[in-house]
Amino acid sequence: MPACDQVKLLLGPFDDGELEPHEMEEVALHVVSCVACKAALEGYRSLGVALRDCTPQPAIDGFSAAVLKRIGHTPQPWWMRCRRYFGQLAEHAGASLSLVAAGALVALLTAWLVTPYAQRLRYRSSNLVQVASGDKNDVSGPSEEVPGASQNASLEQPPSSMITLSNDPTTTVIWLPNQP
Amino acid sequence: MAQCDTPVLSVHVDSMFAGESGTEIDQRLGPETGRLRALFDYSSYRLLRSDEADTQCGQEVAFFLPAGRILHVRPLATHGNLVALELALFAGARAVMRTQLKMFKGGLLVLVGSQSPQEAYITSLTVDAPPRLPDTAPFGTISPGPTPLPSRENQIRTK
Repeated sequence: MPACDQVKLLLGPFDDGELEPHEMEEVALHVVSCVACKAALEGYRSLGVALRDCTPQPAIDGFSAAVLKRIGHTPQPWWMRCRRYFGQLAEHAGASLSLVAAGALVALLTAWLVTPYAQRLRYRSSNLVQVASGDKNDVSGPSEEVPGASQNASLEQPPSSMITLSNDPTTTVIWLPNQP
Repeated sequence: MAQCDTPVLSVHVDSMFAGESGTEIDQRLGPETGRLRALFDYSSYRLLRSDEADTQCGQEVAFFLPAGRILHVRPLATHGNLVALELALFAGARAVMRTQLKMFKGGLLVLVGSQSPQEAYITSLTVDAPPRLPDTAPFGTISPGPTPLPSRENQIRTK
């Protein structure tokens, strides 16, 4: 059985539950039979309760938000910033990619539609006159029409892929776009 | 029926490559350069090949062009200074162009095949009465120049 002097040293940790199990058991047995130690233990307990009651509780309103804000301001390594950037980019990529694809498709269609006319204008700027026609004439007896005029032109490609031009009676130009 | 008042016609075909890079003008083009520069804005012209063949009305003659193209020329009729021609341009077995037209004898027909605004293959064709009739071989003799169609009987000379 431990002496009161030894037990009194253990009363504080005993009250806080900080002793080893066998020490807890010895102190508990002693306190039951020792009035002085029991009174000392009650004093510890009263003192603890009084201390807890008088300690002001910190206000925790907005605590989580404040912590998250401070985390957000914490400097991050470059690779983590890159990963976050690409992550955000990937979120917007779905919508943006469809817009970009639609724009590119419209641009390609426009270029495809406009290019033949632009090239025609380019050749017209060389003072050439387009003389192609689909009239079918009897070529067995050439008439006195202006030479160079295309007669009975036919193609396996769309007719618009051949343009016949002439700038004087002795010169005829047949332009074949997209042909080497 | 085709009417021809010129028994023999000489078809001359020049194949050139024109571009906007460089200023080199092939000297072999001679006076044709001026006509080309009047027609086009290219800065350089290079003669790739020059072929000539004699033929007559109704007989087709074939010329091999760069980039694997073959040009068939068939005089259909002549009348005075005019010649009616049938042209067919082939890329392999596929006909790229087929047309009939009239032109002056000695006039210039220019075929321009362009895949980009900066460069083009230009084929010039002139039809005229030959300077002299072939007296060593009749029509149907194939010269060692460009190869005509096997079924065609024409004489082709390569310059």
